[in-house]
Amino acid sequence: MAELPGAGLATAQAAAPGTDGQVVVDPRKPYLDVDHLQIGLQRDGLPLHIVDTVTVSLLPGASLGIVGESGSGKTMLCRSFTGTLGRYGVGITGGRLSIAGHDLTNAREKDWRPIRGRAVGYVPQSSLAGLNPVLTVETQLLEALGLGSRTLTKSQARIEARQLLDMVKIPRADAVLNERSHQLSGGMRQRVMIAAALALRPPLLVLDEPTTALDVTVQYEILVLIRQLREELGMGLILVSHDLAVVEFLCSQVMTMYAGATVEIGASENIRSRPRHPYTNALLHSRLGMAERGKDLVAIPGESPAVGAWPEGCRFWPRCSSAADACRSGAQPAPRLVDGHLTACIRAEDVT
Amino acid sequence: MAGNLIDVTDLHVTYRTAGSDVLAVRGLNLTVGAGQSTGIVGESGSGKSTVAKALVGLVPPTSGSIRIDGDLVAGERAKGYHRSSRWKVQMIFQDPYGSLDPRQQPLDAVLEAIQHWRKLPRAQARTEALDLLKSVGITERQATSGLRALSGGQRQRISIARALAPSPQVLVADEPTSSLDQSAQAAILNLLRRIQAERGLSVIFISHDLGLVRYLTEDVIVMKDGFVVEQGPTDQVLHHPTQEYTQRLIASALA
Amino acid sequence: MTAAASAMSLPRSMARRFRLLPGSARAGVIIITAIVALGLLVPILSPYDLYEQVGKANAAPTFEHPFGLDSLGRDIVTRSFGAVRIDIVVAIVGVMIPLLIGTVVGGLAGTTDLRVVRGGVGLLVDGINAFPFLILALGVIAVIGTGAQAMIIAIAFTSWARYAKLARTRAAVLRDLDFVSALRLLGYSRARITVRHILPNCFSETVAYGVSDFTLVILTVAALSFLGAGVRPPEPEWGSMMADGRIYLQSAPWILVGPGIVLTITAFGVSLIGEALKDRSRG
Repeated sequence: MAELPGAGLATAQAAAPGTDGQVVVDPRKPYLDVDHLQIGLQRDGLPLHIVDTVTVSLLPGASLGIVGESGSGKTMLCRSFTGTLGRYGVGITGGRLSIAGHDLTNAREKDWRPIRGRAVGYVPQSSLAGLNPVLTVETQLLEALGLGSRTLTKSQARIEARQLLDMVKIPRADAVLNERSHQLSGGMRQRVMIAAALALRPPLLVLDEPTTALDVTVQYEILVLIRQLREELGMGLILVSHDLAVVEFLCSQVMTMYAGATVEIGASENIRSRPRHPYTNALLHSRLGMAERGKDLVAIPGESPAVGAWPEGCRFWPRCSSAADACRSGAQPAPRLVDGHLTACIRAEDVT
Repeated sequence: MAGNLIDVTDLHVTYRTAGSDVLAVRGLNLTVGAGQSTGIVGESGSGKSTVAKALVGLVPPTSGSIRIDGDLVAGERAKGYHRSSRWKVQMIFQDPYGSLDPRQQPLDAVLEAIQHWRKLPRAQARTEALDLLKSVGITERQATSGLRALSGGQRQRISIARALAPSPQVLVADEPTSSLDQSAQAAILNLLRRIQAERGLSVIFISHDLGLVRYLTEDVIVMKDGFVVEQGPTDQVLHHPTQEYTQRLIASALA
Repeated sequence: MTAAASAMSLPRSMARRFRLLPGSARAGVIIITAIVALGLLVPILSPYDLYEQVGKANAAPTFEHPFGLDSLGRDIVTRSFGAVRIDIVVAIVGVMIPLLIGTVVGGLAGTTDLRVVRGGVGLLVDGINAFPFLILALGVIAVIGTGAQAMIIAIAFTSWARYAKLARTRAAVLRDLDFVSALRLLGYSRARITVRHILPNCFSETVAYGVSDFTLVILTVAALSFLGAGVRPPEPEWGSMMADGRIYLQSAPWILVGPGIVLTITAFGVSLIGEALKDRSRG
C-alpha cells in the first residue's frame, strides 16, 4: 500500500486515486449510492425485511441526517454501509449499494476490508460502551490505525495516535493515551471513538446516535466538534438520530424513515418548513421545542408496527390522520417529487 | 407556610459510600402549591433525582425538612411517611421496563393498589381499576394480558394508572419520557398534563430537557453538583437567566 | 407456586393456561401426560407381571415382548412403564421440595437487610454448592440409609442450595428495580412486597431451572441405584434397569435400550416445558 498522506492535516480529498483497494473520490459522482435497498433475512423460507426500501445517494463531502423512531431500520441501514450486517444475522436481500465506486451489494468480508475504516468511518450506537475496558486508549487507536497491516513503525503510529486525539480536541492528550475507558467521561469516550473512526481519514463518517446518552452541554460540544471536523477534513457525514434538532444542526439533507422505508428525503430547511409526509410533519410538531404551553402536543396515535407486521398499503396509514382508501391497499408508495423534495405520500399535496 | 402542598426547607442529602461521602444535595428550598407544577433541571450528577427520591421518602435527608400537606415527613422529630400521608405522594420512574412487576398483569397491579387503600368488593374494585386504566389509554385487553407485548409508552401509562390508584395529591415524575420515542413522549406528556388538570395535582418534573420544563412547568430549579444554581418562575429563568451555568444550558439546547 | 396450585384446582383455568402455552410446551405437556398415563395403565393392563419371570432370560425383542426380556426373564415394556411411578415421584419430590425451600430461603436472603442472615445463608449455600453433589448425597445416605425415601431426602438435602443461589441472585437484582420502590410508595409492607412480588419472580427463575433439572435428578437416581444406594432391586426403576443392562450391552442391548427410550422421551417432554417457562420468566 502506498504511503499514507502524512500527519493530521491530510484532507479527505487527498486520498490518492489509484491502485486496487484504494479509495477513489470522484467529486462528480455520488460517493455513496443506495438504490432500492432491502435488508433482511429468510425466515421459514419467506423473506423478512427490516429495511425495504431505501434509495439515497450522497455526493462526496455532503451530509445526510437519518431520522426515525426505534424499529424504523435506520441503524441496520448504517450497518450496511460498513459491511457489518452479517454479525446480526441479516444481509442485503435486494437493491444495490455502492461506496466510492465499488459495488458492495454482494460483497464478502474480504471485499469489505479495504472499505471499512478507509472509505467509511463508523461510530456505532451506544459507543460509550464501545471502547474495550481493559485496553488503553493508545492501544485502541493504534489498532484503528491498522498497525501491522501497513508500513508504519510503532513510533510513527504513536505520533499519529497523539495527533488523532488533538484532532478531536481532547485536552491533556498525552495522559489520555495511557488511560482506559472507565477513567474517561462520556464526552471524552465519544471523542476517542470519533478519533478511532477517523484514523484512516475516511471520506465519509457514519455516526449512529452519537449524543443520545450524553448531557445537553456535552452533546452540544460533540456536535460542534463534528461540525468543525467536517470543515477541516471536508468529509461527508451520515448522522442517525431520533432527534430532528440534532440532525438539522449538522446536516444539509435529511431522510425520514418509517417501518424500514424512506418516507421523505430532501434539503433540511425545505423539509423543516414544508414537510410533505404526514409522519415527518407529526415528528416536527411533536417536538417539545415547538410546543406552546397549555396546548396539547401533536402526538401520533398508536404504535410503530413491528418488523414483519407492516400493514398493507402505505405503512403509516393506521396512524395517519389523513389516510384515504387509496392509502390502505397496494405497496408502500414510492417517493415522488413534491415541493422540491421526495415524499412517499400519495396525498402529499394535502399535508398541512 | 400554610397553603403549600409541598414545603421543603434547606434539604441536604449525603450518600455514605465506602471511600468517601457524596454530597448529592446541598441545600434546597422548595414550595409548591396545589395544582402547580415545578421543574428540576440539571445534568447527570446534579442531584435532581436524589431530590425526587427524598421527596417521596425513598432516601432519608441528612438535614432539612420536608412537609407534605402539613405533615412533617422528613426532618427533626419527623415520623416519616405513614398510612395517613403515604398515599399523598406518588412517583413515576424513568425506566418503563423496570417500574412494573414483570409477573403481574397490568390490571392486577392497579387492582392491588386500589384494594390496598380502600376496602371495596372485588367486582367494584375491578371496574374501577379498568376505568382508571382506560383513562390512561389502556384497553381491557391490554390490561389483562402479559406485559411482554406492551411498548415502553404503554408500560409508562400503566405506571401512571398505578400511581393514581391511591388518589395522590403530588406526583413526582423522574424523567418520565426520556427513554421513549418522540411520538410516545408527546402522548405521555399530554396525558400527564390532562391528569394534572383534572385532578388538581401538584407535579414535580425532574428532567434534563429544558424544552420539557419550559412546556410543562410554572417554576423551575436549576441544579448542578448538588447546588441550586438558579430558581424562579420558568419563563423568567429561561428567558433571563442570571447565572452563567443556566445560560450555558440554554445555549446547548437545540431548539 | 400458588398459581400452579390454583390452576390444579380449577380445570377450566388449567385449560386456558394450556391454550396460552407456546406450541412446543403444549407438545411437552401432552408427552408427559401420556407417559404418566401409560405408567399407571401399563402395569395394570399388561399380561405380564412386573416382578415375575415370563420367559427366557435376555430374550431378544419379539412381537409379544417388543422391548425384549431382561436378565431375570421379565418383560421390559411392562417394567419400563412400571418404573414411571417411582421415577416421576422421585423426580417431582426431589425437585419440588428443594425448589420450594431453596427459592424461599434464597429469595429472603437476597432481599433482607440483615447482614447476619445474608452472610449466614450465603456461607451455607456456597458451602453446599462447593461440594460435589454425588458425594454429599452418598454422605446423607450413609447416615439415613438406602431406599427410595432416603434417596429423595438425599437429593433434596443437597440440591436446594443451587436453587437458593439462583433465587438469591435474582432477588438481589429485583430489589433494586424501580417497581419495588413504586410498591413501597404505595404503602405496601415489606412482607407483602417480598411474598407477593419478589418471591414469585424468583420462582419463575428457579422453576424453569428446576424443570430442566428433572432429567438430572433421574440420572442421579440412576447413578445412586447403580452405586447400590438407590431403589432396591426388584422394584422397577430406569436407572437400575439401565445399570443392569450395561452388563449385557454386547449380548442383549435391548435391556438398556427399553428404559432408555422411555426416559429419553420423558426428559424431552420435560425440557420442552422447561424452555417455555424459561422464555416466559424473561418477561
